[in-house]
Amino acid sequence: MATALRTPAIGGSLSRVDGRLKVTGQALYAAEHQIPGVAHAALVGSAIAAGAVIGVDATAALALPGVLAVISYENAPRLARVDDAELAVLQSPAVAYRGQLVAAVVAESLETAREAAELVRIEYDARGHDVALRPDHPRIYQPEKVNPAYPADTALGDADAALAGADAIVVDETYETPAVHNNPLEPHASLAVWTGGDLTVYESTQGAAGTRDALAELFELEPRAVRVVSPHVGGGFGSKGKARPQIVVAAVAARVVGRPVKLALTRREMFALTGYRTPTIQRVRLAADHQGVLLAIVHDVLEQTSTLTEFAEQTATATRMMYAAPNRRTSHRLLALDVPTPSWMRAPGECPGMYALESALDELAVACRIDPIDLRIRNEPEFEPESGKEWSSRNLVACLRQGAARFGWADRDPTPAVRRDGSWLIGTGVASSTYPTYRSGSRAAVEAAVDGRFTVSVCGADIGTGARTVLTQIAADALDVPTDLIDVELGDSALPRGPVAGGSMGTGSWGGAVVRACEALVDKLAELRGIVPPDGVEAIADTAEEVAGLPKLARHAFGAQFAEVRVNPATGEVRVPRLLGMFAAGRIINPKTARSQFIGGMTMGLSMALFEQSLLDLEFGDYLNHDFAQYHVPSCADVIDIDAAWIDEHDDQLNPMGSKGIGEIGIVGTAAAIANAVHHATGLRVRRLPITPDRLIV
Amino acid sequence: MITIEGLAEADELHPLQTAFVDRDALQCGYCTPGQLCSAAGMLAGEADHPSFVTPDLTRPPGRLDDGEIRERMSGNLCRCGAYVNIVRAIADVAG
Amino acid sequence: MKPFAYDRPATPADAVALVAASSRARYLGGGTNLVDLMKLGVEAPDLLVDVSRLSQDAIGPTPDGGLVVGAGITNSDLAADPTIRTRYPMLARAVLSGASGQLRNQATIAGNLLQRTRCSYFQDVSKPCNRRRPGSGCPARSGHHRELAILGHSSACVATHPSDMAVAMVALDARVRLLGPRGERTIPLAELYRLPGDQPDRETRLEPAELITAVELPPLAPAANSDYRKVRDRASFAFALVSVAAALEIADGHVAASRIAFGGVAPIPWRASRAERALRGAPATEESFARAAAAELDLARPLPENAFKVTLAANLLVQTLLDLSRT
Repeated sequence: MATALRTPAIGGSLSRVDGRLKVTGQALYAAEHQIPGVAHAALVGSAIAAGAVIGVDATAALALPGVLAVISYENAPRLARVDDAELAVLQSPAVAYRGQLVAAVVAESLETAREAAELVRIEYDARGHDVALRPDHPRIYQPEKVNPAYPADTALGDADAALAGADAIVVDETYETPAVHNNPLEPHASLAVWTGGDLTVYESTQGAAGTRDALAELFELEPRAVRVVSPHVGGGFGSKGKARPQIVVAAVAARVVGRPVKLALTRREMFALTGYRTPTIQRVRLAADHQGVLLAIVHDVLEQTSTLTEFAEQTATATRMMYAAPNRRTSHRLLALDVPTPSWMRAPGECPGMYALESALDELAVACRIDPIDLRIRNEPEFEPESGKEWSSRNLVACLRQGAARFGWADRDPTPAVRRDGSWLIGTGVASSTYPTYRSGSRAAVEAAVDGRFTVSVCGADIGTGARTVLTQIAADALDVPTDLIDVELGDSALPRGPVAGGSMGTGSWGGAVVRACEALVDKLAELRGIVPPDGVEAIADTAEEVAGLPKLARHAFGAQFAEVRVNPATGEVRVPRLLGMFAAGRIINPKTARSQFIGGMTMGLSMALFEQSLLDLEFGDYLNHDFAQYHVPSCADVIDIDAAWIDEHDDQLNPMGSKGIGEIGIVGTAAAIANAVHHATGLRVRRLPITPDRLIV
Repeated sequence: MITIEGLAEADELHPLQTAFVDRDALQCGYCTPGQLCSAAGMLAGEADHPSFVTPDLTRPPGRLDDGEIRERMSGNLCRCGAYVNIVRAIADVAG
Repeated sequence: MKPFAYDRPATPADAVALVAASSRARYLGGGTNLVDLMKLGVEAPDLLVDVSRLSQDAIGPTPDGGLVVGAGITNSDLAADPTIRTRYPMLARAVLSGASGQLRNQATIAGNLLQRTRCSYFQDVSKPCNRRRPGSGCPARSGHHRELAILGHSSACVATHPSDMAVAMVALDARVRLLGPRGERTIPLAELYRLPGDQPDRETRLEPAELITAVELPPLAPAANSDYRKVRDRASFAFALVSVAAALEIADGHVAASRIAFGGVAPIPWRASRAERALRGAPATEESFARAAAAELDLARPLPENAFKVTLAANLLVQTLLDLSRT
């Protein structure tokens, strides 16, 4: 499968091909599409966290001039049952969490819709809610699998015996991560238009094809009768990976009022309706000999889901493959609470799990008096630990070493709390990163036109990743033409089906199909002796079989993250003057956009370390700090010097480009590197994120 | 009032718009119009006033260094994490 | 948001007359807080009386050597004013620490003084709040209150006042000029604010329809140097966890005079009178500063999540005074 591409475009820093559209305000996001006759919807969220709606009084709302409809379970059109219970909106009086949709108002204007929504009177039968994630809860259970299809538990050897070994150095600590919300800047938004029996939705989604399928199922339509259009997406980070309730409301409302309906969630509604990263309570136990060689790793995770539908995050899966150890056990336990349903957020699993594992490694390094980089190198596995598979490539050690050199790690004094600059204590920390290299089968088409241009089409999504740009480069090289002759069409379910922009697999999956389509087109053009017919010529490829036939190897990207922090012990303030990530992620197709992906992930990792937490209110059962004034993400002033670099990694066991996904690895390990640096600066080990000032003032 | 649509002169991008593309100071693009308008406003004479991080408030910075740019751009959140490149792009234009 | 009427009268007196004639009218300055609250349903005025263009945007001298600042001046213009920056650096720094450049460009200083608490419960009409709906209860006490008050709160309300600027102004003994249906009066800014007690909905001592027309800043001793320090969850664009406005005048190694106020710790900008008294005549040393901080913070009654603020406020005050004593 090692296709020898001539690659003048791949590896070059082509500027974003949609950059001009985005800097001139011309890129259209879902709610910005202009459709004549559009009506507006506003939502009513449940005021209780558990129970049922027993009455909906829409009288006052309907009396308001301009109100077209009030839709609740009492009068909503029935939808087909689908697996994702979050999409069965307004189908039942049951309430599974506070903020769940209980009614929608449609009106001539957004203002009227919102005003009317406040006038809808809902009567509830509330039952006591249970929203607190706690390790002693009697209803904790073992899920059948964790996202997407990993076993919940694994065990090799006898970890307990190793931990009890007389000579073992043991770390046994519990780390907690809070619920955090994806919070893309563009809210989830839908503009639904029925034409006869066909439905078109302008949508903000990472996966137009999957969203189309969900709508087709719900409304019992042929997939070809539904079209989801999503040319530009204002971020998603997993929360737009599948259809969310608002698209169903928009489509239902449009059908009820017989007009196009637009619905953009408010920031507050996003905290209930669009998923979030589950909080975790993670106990990590490590046993090592005095040289720091791991004897056992145990990682036990508790996380939450809703009562509506199960989402089980794969928090401990990275622990199954990061380091060598003869004895190992991992487990995931779940508690279904009366809370909004958690879902994917950038590097689900690896991100919170590696915070815990890499913090514990740092604690072990301190306990063993071994440099934390050396400790990791001493536990480098030859094969993937649990599966025994060969690595397609693994360059963690190179990342650690080259990152250390670049960061200036060599003369680091491990003693905590001894470096001071005025009021500030200074420390440095390191952590490893990893993310699996997934690839999904994909279809793609490429068409040559008589004017010499080529149009590549695949139902992928550019959510800010630069997909449109790197696919331009990939196609240019596969066709052996300059990039400026390539147009890339994404974000439309009418295009050849591609997988969701998720799991860091977009480029590898869509790009692989684009290469095959281009190869097929080159063949066709050769048959035509290079003469493009007046109507153009098209080739289509489908890589489903190719991907299914890939050899069974352990495919992962790796990285090492280095942090320098300054902590004011009197005020608890933490600043991060420097972050460096060194990654091994196969072929880097576009250094410019790749660097943005890495540093974007690292910025979100910094945010996870220091700022982000969704506070669940126990009395009311909702996430309390549901706006950007209260839910803190970094401001420009918080991001001082974040840099990313990579090693030149060649891996021909991935896809035709030799690339690994890079959208998620940047957030993995960052929080641990920062927390480890905070310990180095202060001597304080904060095992509960985020590291806010109150947690450092003792 | 100038919005993002009015920043470019006909087909010619404003230097900040060019710098944002060159430095890849955007990812999803959703915050980009706001970032650009704030940056344009900031560069239009704001260096004559101090900011919270100006050490001596009686001495406006005159030239905006990276720290001043970061503080003054902190009213525009970017969730993709493009800040590093946003500051570089603005610094390119600020000179 | 509910529909509302909008009026832009030509004079302050006309504005007062308009608001006095309606029970649910509100003055509109920059709108940076009020309009948010209207969107959230916390405020539902039937009339907005726009006072942002009443030409109350001048900064001028007072006979006693202080300054008078028009109520409609924007936060940005106040902080940029050379006299403010030179003579009241802690005020300029406090203003610059608040919100963001865009908000400061829009927000007026009267609006800043009268902004409402950012307590999560106050801002969410689906939940009880004694400040918003008297008698409905205060869920913050048993709920989340990490950001909330350690001083001056009551069983009915533990909200904090969010302003940075007001903290510096209270420390400066600023006075506010008011115009109401019954004429003009001037009161100390510190007296504008009410502690919540059992009536947290009554946040100020403004009479119905009274309009802030100006703020008077008394002269600060030329020998005093001053600063505003703010600790928040991120480096910029966030409300204070704790802030300190402090001015210190030292003669012969002893504190001749001091002005201290805390932000982020109480339902009002908190003048630290006990700390000031403890400092008077004391040697300008870390020990004195720590004693002064303790004298004030002995009053603190923290809740479980915000006990850190007691230590933080003390540490921040000591650090600020130490730095001021060294300049």
